[in-house]
Amino acid sequence: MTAPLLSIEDLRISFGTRTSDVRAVDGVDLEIFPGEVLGLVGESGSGKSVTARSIMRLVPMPPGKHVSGRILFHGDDLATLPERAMEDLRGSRIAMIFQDPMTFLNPLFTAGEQVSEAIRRHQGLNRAAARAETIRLFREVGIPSPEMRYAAYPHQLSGGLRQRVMIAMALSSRPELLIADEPTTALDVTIQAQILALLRDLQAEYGMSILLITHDLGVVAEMCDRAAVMYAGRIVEQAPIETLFDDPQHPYSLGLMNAMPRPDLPHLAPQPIDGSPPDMAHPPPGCPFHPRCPYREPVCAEHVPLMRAVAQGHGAACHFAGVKRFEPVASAFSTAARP
Amino acid sequence: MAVGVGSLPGNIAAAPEAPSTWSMFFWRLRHNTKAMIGGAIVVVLLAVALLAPLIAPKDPNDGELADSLAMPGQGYVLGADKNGRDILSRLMFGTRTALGGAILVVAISEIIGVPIGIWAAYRGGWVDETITRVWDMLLAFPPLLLAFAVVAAFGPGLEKAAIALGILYVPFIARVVRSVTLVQKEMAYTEAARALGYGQGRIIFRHILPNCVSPIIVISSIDIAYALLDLAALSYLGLGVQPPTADWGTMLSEGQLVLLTSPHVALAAGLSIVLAVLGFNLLGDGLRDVLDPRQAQR
Repeated sequence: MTAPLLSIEDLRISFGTRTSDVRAVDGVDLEIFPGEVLGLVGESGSGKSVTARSIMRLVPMPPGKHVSGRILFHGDDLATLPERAMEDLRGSRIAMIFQDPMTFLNPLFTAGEQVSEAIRRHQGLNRAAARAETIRLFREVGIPSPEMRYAAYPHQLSGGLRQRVMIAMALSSRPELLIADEPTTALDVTIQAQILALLRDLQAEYGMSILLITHDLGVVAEMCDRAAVMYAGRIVEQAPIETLFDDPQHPYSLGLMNAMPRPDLPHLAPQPIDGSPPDMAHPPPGCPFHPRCPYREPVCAEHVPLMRAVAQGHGAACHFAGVKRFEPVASAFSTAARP
Repeated sequence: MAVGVGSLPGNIAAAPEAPSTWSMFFWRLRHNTKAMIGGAIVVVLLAVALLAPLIAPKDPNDGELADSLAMPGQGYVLGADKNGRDILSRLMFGTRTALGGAILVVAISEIIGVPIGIWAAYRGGWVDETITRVWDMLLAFPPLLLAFAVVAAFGPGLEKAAIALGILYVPFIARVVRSVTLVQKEMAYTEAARALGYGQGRIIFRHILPNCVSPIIVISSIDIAYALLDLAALSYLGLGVQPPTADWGTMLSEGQLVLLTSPHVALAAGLSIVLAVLGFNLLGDGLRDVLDPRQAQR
């Protein structure tokens, strides 16, 4: 097996509030291998964005606090790297694209200026060369009339085009790892499909790894080689994508799949998971999911389950992973993966 | 006009060329009555200040004692003061000290206030707390009172008065800049800039400062009006511009002595001050509407 490009070991991040510490990330172990697309799935507040931002060290501290854990990238621990070295890494070897490209582009500069600024920052090209490179990138990410769009301000572009500009900016330095934080959430479904297809193509072409953060299982099924499911600041299940959908070993993963609408099976209404995510200032004892878990046993309220391997590359943090059968209502993968 | 569409892939029609930012700005400026009136007054005053030696009918400091307190008409457009000096010429030269002094005050306060405001907001924490407490303290004093103290310590004069007022005006600029920076700092594109590996300096100067420019322009225009008034007050009290230099404030205090017999002396200076303050205030108000259309109330 190849060495991971990035490995996160026992990462814990908390946010201080007046009364108590909220543990947003509570012991995450995650590895991203070269050239793979890893999905990080979870509902709002599960800690997936904080995990991703802490790789780039973009979590504001304070109020955030790095409690423990290492983030190893080519042997460097990104959690302790000097800020100057971090600046050289950000946007060059690790790049990031965000949810809402409107607010992530500066309204005062044209799309082209912003991309060429990034190019000049990391590649030291002169103005003219950076402009030519920007237009080439615009063409590559499928922006029509790139010369014209170069001079367009963000408000003059549609959501899909703005996201393409962000992608061009992120790709400008040929990063080894691209962190995509809900890149399609703000876009409508047809544009969503286009952007995902573009990311897929570019991933293959550039051979980079992608960490895709989303709450949309459909996006995961379509894009990812592997996925990690997060709940209450922990990774509860990790598996190759087809295994995860066909043979989930954590009741939460199963619950997420049963909550998906099934246009192919109209008689199966989506089944929501009862209850709501725990208050992370006062997480429940034992397994954080046990108050909502239909399969719970007394042990679940007492002991935190550790990640256990159920098959090669497939692990779940449940006392009954591989013991009880968590049967999907119907195979979710075929529907989730939209054509 | 389509730009090079023929060479591009796809059959996307060229969008009509969007009006440039500048032409939009001027269009809105032209349709804003306040800005236009204020702007016209300011332009006229600036022109008078620049051209004073060419257009003034007489030497402002050369008095003809026989014509002491001459009424308007009689060879003097606006009459003469008690030393027989032409009031119109003195008003014209007074424009130079008034505008020059006020602009100096605002320039000093910006050179100090803009970096302080940005730094306080960007660093946050105890730096922000300390700086804002200090300027809250400065704001608690009436600027004129502190200016008196400075002039009392260092002696009267336009430059000293302007420097003192400039420092006292720092909080007015700095708190506006701070509040804009606080908003900008939390904007998603600032985070995106950090994600692109930009350092603090680049983020502040390239991404935050340009977003502060329009509020700075607006507040400057309004602060110039205040500075003009405060400088005139200092001169009126004999703490600013020293005779015989022509200045509206000193003219006002000279005119006050003969207010009952020759009101035109004080009136000319007073109306000039009113006009200039009105001009800069209108311009500032109008510019705010033009630069931030969301705030404009019709």
